[in-house]
Amino acid sequence: MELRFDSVTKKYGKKLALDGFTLTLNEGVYALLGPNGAGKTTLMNCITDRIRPTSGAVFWNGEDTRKMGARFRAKLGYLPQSFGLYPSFTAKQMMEYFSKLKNVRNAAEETTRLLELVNLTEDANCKVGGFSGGMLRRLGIAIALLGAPEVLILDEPTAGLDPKERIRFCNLINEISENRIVIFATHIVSDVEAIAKEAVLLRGGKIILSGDLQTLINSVYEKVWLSDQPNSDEALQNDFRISNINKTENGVSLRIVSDGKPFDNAVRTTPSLDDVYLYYFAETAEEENERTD
Amino acid sequence: MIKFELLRMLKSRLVWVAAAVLVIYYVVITGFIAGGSMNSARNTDKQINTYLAQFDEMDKDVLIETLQNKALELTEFVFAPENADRIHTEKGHYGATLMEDFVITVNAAETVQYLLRDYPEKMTEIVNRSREAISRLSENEYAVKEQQKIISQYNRVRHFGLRSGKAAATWLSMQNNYSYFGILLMLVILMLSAECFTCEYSRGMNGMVFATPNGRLKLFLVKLSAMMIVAAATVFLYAAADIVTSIYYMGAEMLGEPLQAVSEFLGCPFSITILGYIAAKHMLLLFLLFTVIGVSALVCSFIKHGFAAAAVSVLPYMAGFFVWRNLLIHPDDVFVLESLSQLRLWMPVCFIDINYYFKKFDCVEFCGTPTERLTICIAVSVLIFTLTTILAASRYGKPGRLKG
Repeated sequence: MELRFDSVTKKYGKKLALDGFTLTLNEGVYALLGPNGAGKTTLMNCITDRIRPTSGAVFWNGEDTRKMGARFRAKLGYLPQSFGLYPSFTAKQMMEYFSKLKNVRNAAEETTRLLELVNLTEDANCKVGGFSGGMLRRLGIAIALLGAPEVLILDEPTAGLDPKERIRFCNLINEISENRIVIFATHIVSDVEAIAKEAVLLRGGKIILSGDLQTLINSVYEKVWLSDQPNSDEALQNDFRISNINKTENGVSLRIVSDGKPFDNAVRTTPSLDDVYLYYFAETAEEENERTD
Repeated sequence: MIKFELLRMLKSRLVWVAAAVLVIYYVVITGFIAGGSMNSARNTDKQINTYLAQFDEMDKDVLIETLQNKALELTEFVFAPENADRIHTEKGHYGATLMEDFVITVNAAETVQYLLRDYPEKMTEIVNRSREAISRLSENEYAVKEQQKIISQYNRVRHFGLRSGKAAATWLSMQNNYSYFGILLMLVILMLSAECFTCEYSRGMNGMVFATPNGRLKLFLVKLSAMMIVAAATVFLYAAADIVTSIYYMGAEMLGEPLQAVSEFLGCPFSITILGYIAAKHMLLLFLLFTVIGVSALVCSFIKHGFAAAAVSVLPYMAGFFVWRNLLIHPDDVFVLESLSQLRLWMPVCFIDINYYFKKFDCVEFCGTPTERLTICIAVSVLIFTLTTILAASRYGKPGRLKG
């Protein structure tokens, strides 16, 4: 099982949404991490053939997915970032409808099993229009799982969910991740830690780093500092990437991500994935000015 | 999958609102507007037949003369100043008042003259004109055949169950009123079709649906089939209502009469009954609705918003409405008449009002062969439907310029 991206580039006018994206994925859960506009959704749309890359191609086990067409889509499960369903349909009807679209043979059994998996058995005959955001998302994942897809694509799957629903959702993805490639886009770092085997950091349509979580964390090793300061005024926050501020008796304790030692009293500390995100995606005021100039 | 598409439509509020609007409009134009005049026409026919019963066995020319004399006598009586009060209060012999007697007598004289003298003479005139045409068109085999068809059509002995043309003429006027219902039906199908082909976008389901193996061509065909079923079912119900209404107001025997029994269709070259005309009318309406579905499907493949797509889809049909409406207002305007004649050839929207195709031998030269406009327009409809659906199918759900 191999999903390979070969120099996938997507241009919108002069803007590059994806810039020569090259990566090979095998069985496991992969997180696409990046700020808004990094190219995550564009990449997912290229996989699902909703948009055509300007150049490059996506290959499934060595075969061009665009040439495979419906054969490749039969292997796909897709949960978009925001989606709706027919409000007048019940959850069960919605599942049956997508079973037809996906050529699922034992649709009734699959529907029962998946609705149970996403804890919607009791609501199977309730109209989708009355579902909460969390219920709708769980139904969405059940629909995405119909037909046992080998590639599961989840775009911001936990966005808008309350903490309880998010934990439930992460556990669910862990449960279903065997024997398939799961790609999920997010900017919630804790979700990556909870689910992913590997992560791909995207910015401006380019991969800036990829690998297992430890590799990512190691990339900012010796770049995370703790420093006590009398206060955390705006100037300080503009000058440094501060990942945490704790109040102490004498002022504040700052967790700073920086290449060099930010203050004389700063001491190195163990990095986390939040620090990785901050290091690669947060800009200091100075960097922002340089970029805009 | 068609089951799900139909189920979705049945659960849609838009469908029920549209159905309610159609039913209410049909009931209003049939029951309140057409119904009143139809009942009055039917009563007039009944009274005329009762009046005419006393003249059975009389010779044709004597009968016409007798009836005309009686009508003249009553006309003089009615218009005499000293009788002004009596005609509305005094009881008549055949109607409720002397005034009604006058109306019955005049109508009876006109009816008998039409049936026994004018209609046969017109038949002869049409046949003679066709014979002349044949001698001029001897090199054109098709045209000759058409003229021969007319001759055989008019040389047949025809039975007129409708003694008076009153009810038939009123029926035609009711049919003309139904043209507005046809327009409304077309707009409703247009709205439903646009909603049907864009609902994945408006619900935000497009990402999920188009990422499935059957979410493109098969889903398009399912939607197309569902819309065609809806259109066919609607037209079937409309046709059934039309026939029931016609029977209710005119009697079942009328449906078996030749279309030429309605004076406006005296020159109709087709051997067709009134029931056949009703069936043809609804078949052609269905053709029109299929083109509407095809055009809106194509527009929806570009514009993924139901209302906007419907608004754009209706534009090509607006030209047809404009000319047709103008023709109703200015029936003698040569420019409008000519425009409509052209449109009748190329635009299936003219199936809203098919009378013009049935009034006379209506043909144009097509690739050197005189061909009936109706045939060409049906072919154009099939072509429009085929091309638009093929183009729409090739675009439906395919990758586009999405924002990243």
